[in-house]
Amino acid sequence: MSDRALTTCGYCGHRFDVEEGRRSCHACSLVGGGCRSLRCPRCGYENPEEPRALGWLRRLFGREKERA
Amino acid sequence: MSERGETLSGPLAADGVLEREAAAAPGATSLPLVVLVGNPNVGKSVMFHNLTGRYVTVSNYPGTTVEVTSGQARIEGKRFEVVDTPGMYSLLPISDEERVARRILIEREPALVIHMVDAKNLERMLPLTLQLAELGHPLLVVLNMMDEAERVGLRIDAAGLSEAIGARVLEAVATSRRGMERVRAAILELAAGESSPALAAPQLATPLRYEQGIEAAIERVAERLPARWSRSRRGIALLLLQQGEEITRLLRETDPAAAASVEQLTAELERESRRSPTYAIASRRQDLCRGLCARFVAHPSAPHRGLADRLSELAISPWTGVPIVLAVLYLGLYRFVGTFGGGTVVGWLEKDLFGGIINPAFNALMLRLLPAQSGWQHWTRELVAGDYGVVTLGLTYAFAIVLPIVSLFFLFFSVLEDSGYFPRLAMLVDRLFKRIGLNGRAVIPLVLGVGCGTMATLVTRIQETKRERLLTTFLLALAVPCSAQFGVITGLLAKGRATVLGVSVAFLIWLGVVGLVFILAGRLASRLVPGEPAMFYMELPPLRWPRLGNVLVKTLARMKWYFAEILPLFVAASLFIWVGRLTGLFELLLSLFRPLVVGILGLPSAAAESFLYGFFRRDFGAAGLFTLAPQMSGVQLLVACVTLTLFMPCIAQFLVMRKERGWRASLAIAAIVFTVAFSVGALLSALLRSSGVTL
Repeated sequence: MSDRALTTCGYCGHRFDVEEGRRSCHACSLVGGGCRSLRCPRCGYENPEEPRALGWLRRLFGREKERA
Repeated sequence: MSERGETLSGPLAADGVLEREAAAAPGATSLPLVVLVGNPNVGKSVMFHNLTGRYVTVSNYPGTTVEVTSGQARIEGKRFEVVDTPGMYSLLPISDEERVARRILIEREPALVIHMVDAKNLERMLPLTLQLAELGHPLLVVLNMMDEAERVGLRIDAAGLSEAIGARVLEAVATSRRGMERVRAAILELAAGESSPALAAPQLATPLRYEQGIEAAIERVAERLPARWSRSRRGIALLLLQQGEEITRLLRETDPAAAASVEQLTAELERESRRSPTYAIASRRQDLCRGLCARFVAHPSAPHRGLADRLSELAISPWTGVPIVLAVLYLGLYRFVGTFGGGTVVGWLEKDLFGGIINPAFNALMLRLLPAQSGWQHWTRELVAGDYGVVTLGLTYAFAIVLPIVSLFFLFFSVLEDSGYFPRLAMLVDRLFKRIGLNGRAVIPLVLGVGCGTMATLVTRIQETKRERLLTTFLLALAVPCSAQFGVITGLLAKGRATVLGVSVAFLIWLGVVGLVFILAGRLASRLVPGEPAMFYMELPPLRWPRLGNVLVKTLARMKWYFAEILPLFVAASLFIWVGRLTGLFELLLSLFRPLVVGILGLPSAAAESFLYGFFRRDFGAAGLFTLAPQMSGVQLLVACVTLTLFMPCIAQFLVMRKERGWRASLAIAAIVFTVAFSVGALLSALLRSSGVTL
């Protein structure tokens, strides 16, 4: 199972699946374990992926909001 | 993040019988099957996400490497299997992705096919709608991106269109979930078998009839098809008459006698027709689509233009677009990143904090702990402290010089990115770029190159031709400074005494020389590298106010990546210098650079170190220049900045160049860049010195 989320390309505005963006962009790092970019399937622009800690915080607060 | 479910294991041969393949297709379950189809980038994935939620299965379609995503939708207690197919333009496949999408449609019996359509481009999308209608599966057409269609003033009579094509047509905006309730209700009604037969099997109000010969052939082919294709008889007959290779092969494997008969009929039709049946069928469908659009799509006579549209036009038009670019560069790069970041913030961090407090304290501490002036204590102390220590050089460069500049650059970059300005920049420079053998598409790697040339070199993959990729790689290596380099250079040159309209003359000369080299080198290279320039077309997303949350997240993400990449390299550079000094190798390399730096460029011999650092990392070299600046005159500083900007790509960029373009091209680029950098630097130095200019 995969955890799907959507993101918007900062260049062309296309909405795409984060996982799809990850799959097409994974080979450019020399050090540091990957540039963690999401490549837009429409225009090829490399969008930065939200740092995990921020995503976690966002989800935490999102859930809090939903509960409220 | 992907896995194969149990039902997906054991890939079948592509030539397996239909039932067997259907049973093993991705996500195959006993639930009613809803298949999402449509052109690439029309919102299928977003619709899929809306229907299925977060957890899905991603797997290769049996016998292929094409990934298909499937999940389950629950609507009012009823469950459906939903499959998101790869983008397709037609049922006559060209790519593997289209082939897989068609196989899912033909080999599995969908309870409902949802055709996702970009409402703005209905005429381009409708031919596939007609092909899907001809296949005979229950069909739901979703006019997606209605917000964008409305923004340009389009009005679509969905009810009229629905009646004409005999399939449900709904308006939606999948990204904002507008219309989702109606889509879900329609799925429940159509896929759960609760619809009227008339709606379930699409029937055109005016049946789509082809030329007489084609119609006769359709009938004869349809009669020969196996019973299990009864629902799609007409659609499959049409595909066979258009000589769809795979469908012909499938028929041959299912019923060889029928296949032979059909092949004979197809050959006869081909011989007897005045024009190709494929062309005649496509042309007839296109005529009908044109007619449908004329009847049901109203175009605005005078489209409504808001402030964002007007600003967008101003950004694209050369007369207003160029001043806007200059204003953006001046305020964003020169003032914010260069003067504020590279001047004020770096000045405080590098001189006051690190130079005045941290480094002296650290040096003193190390001297107390390791007091000996020779032997292992001396060399250990030199490793971490002193002029070239890991802490006093590597970390100082990283945190006091590069960090503030790069952070501010990424902040500025993210604001521009989130506003939707970059595509307009691409449109604006498209004409200029055509003169250097490129097009507007090159803006993406070149703009990213101002962030980091290494990543940008990889992004050249998005360019259509090998020639474009080579030209862009060359220009990135030669005349596109990276963010830290740009920030340091701007910060240094902005301090020049001579100014014009508040901008330092030295900075203007630097910009002019680098810009001129960019254009001349590009023009020359485009003449030498054979090939035609590719076309450039892109749909402009709307201009929007940047959202603070987005901007901060993107800035933080880029900084995190950047520092994960540079910190180890900065530490490694310090170690390399330490080993180099220990072994004498560093001095040897410097002695190779010194004649060029001192003799040709007229710079102090200490500047040779910056060039050596620059090859390690561009930003490291620029940071080195920062510490040397007090020892140089204005002219020397300008010459050093120009030469260092044009100088060799750093090691990381060179390795990526080799990976992408091969050894020959990378070595040739490196040699050209080295020669051009020192030639331009020498020429500029000679010109400025002979004219007696002081900056």
